[in-house]
Amino acid sequence: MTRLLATLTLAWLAAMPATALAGGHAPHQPDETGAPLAAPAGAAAQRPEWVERRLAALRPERPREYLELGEEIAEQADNPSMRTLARTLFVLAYETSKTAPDGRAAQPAGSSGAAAEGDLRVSVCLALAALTDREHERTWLRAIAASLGWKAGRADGGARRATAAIDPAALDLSNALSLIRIGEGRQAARLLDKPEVAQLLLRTERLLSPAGLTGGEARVRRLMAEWPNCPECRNRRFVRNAEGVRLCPKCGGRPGPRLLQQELLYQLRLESSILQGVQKSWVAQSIVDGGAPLRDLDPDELAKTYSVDPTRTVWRDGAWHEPAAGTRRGAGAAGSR
Amino acid sequence: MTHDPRPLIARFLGPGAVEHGPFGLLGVSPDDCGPDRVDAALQRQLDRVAAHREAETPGADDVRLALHAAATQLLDPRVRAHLVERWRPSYAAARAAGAQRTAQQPQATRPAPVAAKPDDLDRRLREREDDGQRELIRVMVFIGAATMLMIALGLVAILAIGSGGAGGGGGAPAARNPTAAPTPPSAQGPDAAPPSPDPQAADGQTEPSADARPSARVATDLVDPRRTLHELRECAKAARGDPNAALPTFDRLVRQLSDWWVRYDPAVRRACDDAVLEVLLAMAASPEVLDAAIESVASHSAAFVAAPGESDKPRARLLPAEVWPVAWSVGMLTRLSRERDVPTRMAVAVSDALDARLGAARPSDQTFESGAAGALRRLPALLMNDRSVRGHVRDSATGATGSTAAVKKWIEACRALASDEAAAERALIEGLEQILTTCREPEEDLGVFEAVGLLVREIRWRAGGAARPRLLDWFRDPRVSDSDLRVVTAALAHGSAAEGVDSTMVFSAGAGPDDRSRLRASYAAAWGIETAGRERASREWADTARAAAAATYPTRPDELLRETAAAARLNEAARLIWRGEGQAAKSLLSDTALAQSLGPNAPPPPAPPVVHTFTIGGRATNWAERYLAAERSIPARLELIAELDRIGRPIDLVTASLLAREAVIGSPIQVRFAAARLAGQLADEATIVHAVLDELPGAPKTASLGELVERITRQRLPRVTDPGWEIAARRALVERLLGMLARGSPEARFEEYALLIADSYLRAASLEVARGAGAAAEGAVLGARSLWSAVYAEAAAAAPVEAAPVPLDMIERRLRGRLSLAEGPVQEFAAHQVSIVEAMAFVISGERPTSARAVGAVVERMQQERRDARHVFEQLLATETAALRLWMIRLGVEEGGAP
Repeated sequence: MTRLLATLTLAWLAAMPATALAGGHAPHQPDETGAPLAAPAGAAAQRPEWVERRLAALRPERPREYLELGEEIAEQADNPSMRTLARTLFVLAYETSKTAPDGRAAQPAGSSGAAAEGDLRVSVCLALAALTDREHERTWLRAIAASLGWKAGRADGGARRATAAIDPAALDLSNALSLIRIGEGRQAARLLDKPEVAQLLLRTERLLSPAGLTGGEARVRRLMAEWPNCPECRNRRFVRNAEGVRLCPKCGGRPGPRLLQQELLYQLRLESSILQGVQKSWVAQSIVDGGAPLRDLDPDELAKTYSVDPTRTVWRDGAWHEPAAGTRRGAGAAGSR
Repeated sequence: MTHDPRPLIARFLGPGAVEHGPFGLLGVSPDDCGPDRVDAALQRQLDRVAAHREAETPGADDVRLALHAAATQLLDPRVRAHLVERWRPSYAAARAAGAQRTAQQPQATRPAPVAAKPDDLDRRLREREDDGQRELIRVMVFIGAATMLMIALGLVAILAIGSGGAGGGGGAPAARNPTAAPTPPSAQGPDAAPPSPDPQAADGQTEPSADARPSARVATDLVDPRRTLHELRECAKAARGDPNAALPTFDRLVRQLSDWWVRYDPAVRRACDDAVLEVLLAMAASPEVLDAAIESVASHSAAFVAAPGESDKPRARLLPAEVWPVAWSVGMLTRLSRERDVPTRMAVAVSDALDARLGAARPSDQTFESGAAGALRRLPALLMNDRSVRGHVRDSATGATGSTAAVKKWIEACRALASDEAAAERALIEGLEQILTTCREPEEDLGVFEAVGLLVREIRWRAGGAARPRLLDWFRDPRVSDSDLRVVTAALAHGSAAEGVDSTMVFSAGAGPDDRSRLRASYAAAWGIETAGRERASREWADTARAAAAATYPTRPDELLRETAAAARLNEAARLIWRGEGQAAKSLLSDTALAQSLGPNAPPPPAPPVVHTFTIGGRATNWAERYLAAERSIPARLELIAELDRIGRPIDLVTASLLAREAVIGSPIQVRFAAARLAGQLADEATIVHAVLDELPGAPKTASLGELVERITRQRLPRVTDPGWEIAARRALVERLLGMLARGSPEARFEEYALLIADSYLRAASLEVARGAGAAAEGAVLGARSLWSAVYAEAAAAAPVEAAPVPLDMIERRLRGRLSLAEGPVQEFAAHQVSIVEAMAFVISGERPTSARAVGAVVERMQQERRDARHVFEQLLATETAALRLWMIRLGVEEGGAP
């Protein structure tokens, strides 16, 4: 089952990135996917008995129980399917709170921090934020929580979020691109031979094409191989003959590949992205981020973001069902979450 | 070098080096100037320059170039022969006279001092160091003397103010009446007389003790502006030779200029601005003097910069004598910020000074006028007492140093800067609003009372102008108190130029909230504002708005942005209609040029030049070949670099890459400096930026490299020794090049539409429109931010509104959250834009409770479209269209209906 999970994961990842990038997700995300994996039915074997029991007891009239169970699972989650389950529970806590008789359940005794706000939606956002390791996603969830009234421990209202640390390999990759452009392929190769630099290029190669397609990394390596240095002048830029000093006939006095302006533009886009440049014009910004839309602060987005069906809130036979369908044994298609 | 280098040469090589042409410069005798001797002498003199304390300055570069030029001359046999014939007699005469020289006494067989007599060289180096120290001592003595003089002048000023002298802002002419006793508005109605401060001010001539500041400025006497201009130009010439000596003169002239620029003919004033720049550039050879000169310009607006640790103390009000200098100083700094070919040190100092004074309100249009106007916009409240001041407030209004006199100065400055009467009226009405909304109540503070009356009487209150609709807004504005309205309406009724206003239209003492609405209606009727606006402009607007709101969204990004710009223009017109400025709305809607640039048949923009070119052949390529052929010859390479400066632009990539390589890793240092200097001057060439970026990986981290990158990128970077320098430098270069190439990309049209959007928002927020490259992004954010503040204030005044689709506190929290997520200028604008719409929905739900459901539907639709958007421009259009729909509701435009 683990091998099947890995295979399905790879297939899904291969299909996802182009559409994800075209859909305006922020470039240079370590993980291109925007949604959790659908846990195959076989993952049920990994769930402890107490989890199954508690899942089965959940009812949409009591939204806080979804949240509490999710928090308990998140504390102990040691594999992706359990983390996915925790996320699903958090989202369902929010969705069920919208229709429950008392959506803003009183806080449990002794609670503090975000729960002290008395708003389950805030708790859901913060719980999801704690579960993710993606900075951008965490910022988004915390911003939603703040818009719902949560007061962050440190003043970050209105200010741009703290810039994430620059990937240490970013400078080497950026330098390598420059070296390739000036025909110093050998020097560039020393940088690209570093595993972290090669990985960074692989992760960000889609920025090298306007349509977000793959192949950028191969192109860079090809350029590098074609220009270790100028075979005619060894990058001296000139040759000496009977007529005296002349510009090198091979490189024309400027070693390096002949790039179209558009290709240079997309190389710069990649460099700007990995170095976290701040653009000063709308057109430059559009080129760098492909016109990525501003993510909104609507908690109603949670279900869509985490691929949770808000209508399926009852657990039965290892899957989520709609409440009406869940009461009839064997009725309705089982969602495999 | 274009200026006289002799003082520089004397500073580095001694006075003897400026005598006898190239022989004195190199320290060789005409009788012994063979090639070996010349080379040795050149190296010796270069070593002396390198050992000098100022070896890294541009002045040192100039001296090096002079040495190379001299060596080049003497290495050419024909030129050498000519020069020997010319200089031998005087050289021999000087030698025979035994003149004291610091140059060597060369003889045929004596080797070069550096090689044969290190002690001699050491002694000369010590002499140079001593010279430098003596010069430093001279500077310190000068500064000390200047300080003593300033203290003495200050004491004189105190005495002058204490005796009620005619200081304070330029010796106001006798025709003025600076000490008018305060009089309440002479409203005759039983309820119309507003409570006013004691009309018999105790002593109109007595200067208030609270304002007797030891450092109170005393204006200079008015000097013929042309004479000031002439002196500035002479000062520039003097500064080239001795910047130190020119500094006091510069200080004096700057003070004259700042005290009286308002009275100058604009052309003369502009010429003076250029002359000031000329002086600063002339002082560039001496960094300390340059710093002092810039400080001399900036010091006149020091009142804008809060002293550290004094934010909790009451602010001292600006005195009349300070009003014009403050505006001049900020205007001049803004003018200087436009210059590109200035030392980085100067550019950074000017930029820092402007940031401290204007902050985010720095105008994108870097002219004197925009900077001075920006300063004047901030001044009105600063001319009044701080709100927390207690006591003596009555006395602070009167007299030559009173706030009333300061307001008069401010008015005169606004009129001097305004391009026309409409602009002047706008400036005055905004100043009046600032005083009404931020200063003490006029009934508590005579200064405020007098200022309000003065401004009301100064404003023309023309039909179609900005003042009338603004007054109507004040009746609805909670920041404008009843007391404010009483004083304003009383002044309007008695003594102002406003037509149709009589004593029945004075806000009475016992008036209530309903009276504000009633009186507003009276003024609107008297001036025919709202009805006229609706009739003339609304019909046209309604038709266009209905069509725009019903249109299908395009799909291409450039079309999305174009439609967003069109919608923003409609929304801007709607706001004008709402404010009663119907004529302005009509003009906006009928602006054919604007309409054509926005329509689907708009002509494509001219194709910008492709900047990333690679060509072989032509003058530049020939230059590259000759440069490479020069190999290691220093004189030849220097000469070729100078020739490249004359070849002109554009610079192709082969040439740029060669120049960049020399600038970054060229050897020896003088070639590197010369190449770096030229590369810095060519910072606007994309090929240069590209070439420097690509040379960066192999470049040694030197101070000159850091300066070059700062100059090219126009950004301040960490020191080159800082671990983060390389990333910061690369990032800055990538940003710069990306921005330059983007203008040549297929997406270049985005910028044009972005500028239109920015202008709509800036105008809606009563700000100057964006100017210059890169102004769109900054302008859009500034305009959106300002408009958000205005709309939020409107919403706060209307709160609570139960039927609003989004509660007000949530709107504000959402904005903060969106800003924390926003990356880049487009998303930052988008964050403000959607918050403006949410706040508008709040306001309109309160104004039209019966339309609350329709308002909610508009907001819901907007939120859904934003969620579904795949491109940020889709979000912008969805939001702007939502704003349009809200305006239709607010103006009562429904499908098939008319307002």
